[in-house]
Amino acid sequence: MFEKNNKELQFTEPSKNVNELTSGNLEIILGINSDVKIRKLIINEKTNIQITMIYVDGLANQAFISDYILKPLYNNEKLNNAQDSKELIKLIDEGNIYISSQLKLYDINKTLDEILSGGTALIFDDCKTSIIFDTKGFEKRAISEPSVENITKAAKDSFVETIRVNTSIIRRKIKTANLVIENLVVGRQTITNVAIVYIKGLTNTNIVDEVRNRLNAINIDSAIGTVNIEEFICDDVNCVFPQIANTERPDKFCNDIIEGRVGIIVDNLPIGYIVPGTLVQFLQAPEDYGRNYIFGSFIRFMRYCLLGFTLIFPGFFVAVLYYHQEMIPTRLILAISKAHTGVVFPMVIEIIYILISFEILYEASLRIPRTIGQAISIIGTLVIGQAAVDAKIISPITVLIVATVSIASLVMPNQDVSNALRLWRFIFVIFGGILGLYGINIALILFIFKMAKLESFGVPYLSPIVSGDDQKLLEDTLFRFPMKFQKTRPKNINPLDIKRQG
Amino acid sequence: MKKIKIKRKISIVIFSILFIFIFLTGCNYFPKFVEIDDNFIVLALGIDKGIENKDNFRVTLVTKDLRETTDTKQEGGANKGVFVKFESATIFDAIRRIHTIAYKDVFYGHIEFIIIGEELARENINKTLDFIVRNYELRTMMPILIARGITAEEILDSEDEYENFVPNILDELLKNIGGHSISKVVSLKDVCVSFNSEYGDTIIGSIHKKNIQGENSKEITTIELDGYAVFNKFKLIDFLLQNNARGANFINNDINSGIIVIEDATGKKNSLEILEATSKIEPKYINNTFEANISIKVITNIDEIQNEENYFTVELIDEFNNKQKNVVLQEAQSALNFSQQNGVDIFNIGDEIYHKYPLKWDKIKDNWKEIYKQMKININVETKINGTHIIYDPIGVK
Repeated sequence: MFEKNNKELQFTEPSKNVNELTSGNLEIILGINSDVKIRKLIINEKTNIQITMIYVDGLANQAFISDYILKPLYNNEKLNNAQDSKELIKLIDEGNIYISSQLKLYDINKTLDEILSGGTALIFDDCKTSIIFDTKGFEKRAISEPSVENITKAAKDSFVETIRVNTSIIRRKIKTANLVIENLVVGRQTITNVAIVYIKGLTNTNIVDEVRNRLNAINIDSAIGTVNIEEFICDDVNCVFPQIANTERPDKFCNDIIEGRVGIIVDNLPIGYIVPGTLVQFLQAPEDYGRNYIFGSFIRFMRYCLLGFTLIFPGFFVAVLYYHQEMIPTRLILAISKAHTGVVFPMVIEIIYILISFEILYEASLRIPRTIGQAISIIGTLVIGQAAVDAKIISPITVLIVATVSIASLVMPNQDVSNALRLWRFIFVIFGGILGLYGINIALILFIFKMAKLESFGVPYLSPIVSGDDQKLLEDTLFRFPMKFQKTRPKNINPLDIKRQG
Repeated sequence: MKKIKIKRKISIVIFSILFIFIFLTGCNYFPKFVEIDDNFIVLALGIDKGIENKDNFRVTLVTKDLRETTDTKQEGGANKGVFVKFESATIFDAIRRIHTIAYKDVFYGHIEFIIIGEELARENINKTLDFIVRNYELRTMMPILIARGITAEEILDSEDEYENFVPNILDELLKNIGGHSISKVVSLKDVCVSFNSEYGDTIIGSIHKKNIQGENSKEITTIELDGYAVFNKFKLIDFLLQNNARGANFINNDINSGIIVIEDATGKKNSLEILEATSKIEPKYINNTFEANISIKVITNIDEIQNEENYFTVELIDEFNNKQKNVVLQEAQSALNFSQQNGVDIFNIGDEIYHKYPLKWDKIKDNWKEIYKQMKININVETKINGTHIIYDPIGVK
């Protein structure tokens, strides 16, 4: 623990070849760290076999090392009577040390990787081999309730930061032998483990290959945050709409894998990515499946209607109010006119002002400490609601419209989609203010063009609404039919086995 | 390098398309928009003969007063109207010149009523409606009314004791026509259709100001909807009022509901409510002359009995039926006589003859007015009494 900062070389001299697997080389690389422990052991005083034990304090479980590595090394008779290193290695190979996972390596880089992942290395200098034991014992977060996607009628576990725990959760939910969990390494400095999860014989191999190729092509330093992997995998970074679904609930993750999609789990991120992601998938919430299908269909259909409503309504309102005043019923226009008398700004400016101030409120609410959160929300309502209306800066009807529309945009189950909709709303308002309903049409054409052109891993973004091929539209998109109607997997991702039931 | 060139080409194409969309739309005065509260939203339009110059038109506009009232006593202030009047040689000129005296932009897209004064209608109504139909901003489904006995300006500019807003009053009057069926809502589109037909004539609803007793036995004036104004081509000739107008409705199949008052054998009056009334016009060609049969079917309920004696026998119902038939026959006959005497074909009998005998119609169509004055038209009425509502015998009868 309390060791000098400048450590002198304690062991054999470094060999001329830096890439050789010797303890001297390892000490040069790792010796300066204060949490790396290097220890020299001597077995069998008669023949004087020297082993070096290297582990990282904090990553390796000290109890395992002392109980299951050191004890048998010194108490086992066979090991103590070994003649030379080669025999010792052979004996350890046969299982005389009581740790279940064991690796024999000849490469220094791989040894370094294993040591820095929490393993303990026993290095035999003369044979230039190392034996690695998996003794991971670092602190990890316990499985807790999901923070955002909380549902009453479903399992309440969520992903955690450790990849091994996540894969264990998945294995517990999908017990078939066809479940495949492949491992990749991403990131030059962080060397993060990334797992690809799919079901062999069910998922289309083209998608799996594409995922593997894209992950292998990532050439960056760090893979810690989400942006580093998401931006490199997705098809079009310039589009605000997300093309990869992400979730923190393992049951949603597993359901999607069984449908035929591919899942990606990243070490140190409590998020599971699901690929390919289509727009229809972002509007499906797990609550729909927990409720009766009639109510679930109603809510889901309402979600689709609200998608259109929140996007187009402020722009439509501005367009009709400026250019097509004869479309509004007479009593309504008299009421709006009366509410608007004396107000300073024109309607377009008002609506843009309120939309921007709502965005500011959202952003500020993320940063508020909890103790003053209440006060800020009161100030927000007062400023935007009461005071601004009384000061004749905005009129009450625009507050009403924008408040309704903002609440409608929060109904979307995925937050990225909600953000994208809020951004496109501005574009619609500007177009509507310039050209009236004609402008709304132009903006709508641009929007649909952008969405229809988008693809996610070869699957069109708007499928199954867009592509033909005898796709059943209503099964799980606009409405949720009871489970006995959903006999096939979604055809747009081309699974190898179509039948799901019966 | 190729990738950048392709992207540049695509962006140039997109920008040029957007440019064409935005700036070459063909809309006049780009961008033409007016703030909502900078608009006079005109609710009713009145057209009269000019005062200074008899050849001119006088236009009255009514819009609602949307200024805020700080006077809390005056609750009805929200119902006050703002009137703007101008006189000029043509209607469009008068409407445009209003901009010289109005302090806001005038917007005609919400006009709900057009009222035309009687004097102007007696001269020629066609030239007043040309502008309204031609311009794209005014609606064509708005009702037209003729002001009987006074000018349109006096109707629109009236303020009675309750300070009710005139377009609201007219709105309610026209909504409740179905209850009595004395008149009907004639929209601008209907007038255009019937002006376009060469051999038929138009009828338009008429309104009139009336004095009734108000609170504290003061007299207040209110607007009354009382019948039709009958036109011969484009000139107003006369009015059909009250029951005569309902007779015209019987023949034209425009009855929604109404009350028929009959007098029974003892001299008391009872009332029956019309449930359904249909009519059919059948032209016939007998002995080289045209004749027509109008058959009217009426189904009613007994609604009010003012007699106290013992009632309800089968003969009584037959008696009611006969009396009812006479009443309807009389109303329809008076309307028919009126139209035949003046030579105005307001029931579109010429149209029916054209549909049934097109070749013969060709020969006589030039003399249609004379032929119509002498044509023999029979009216058959069939009535049926359906029920007596909740009770059977009147109350208090043993």
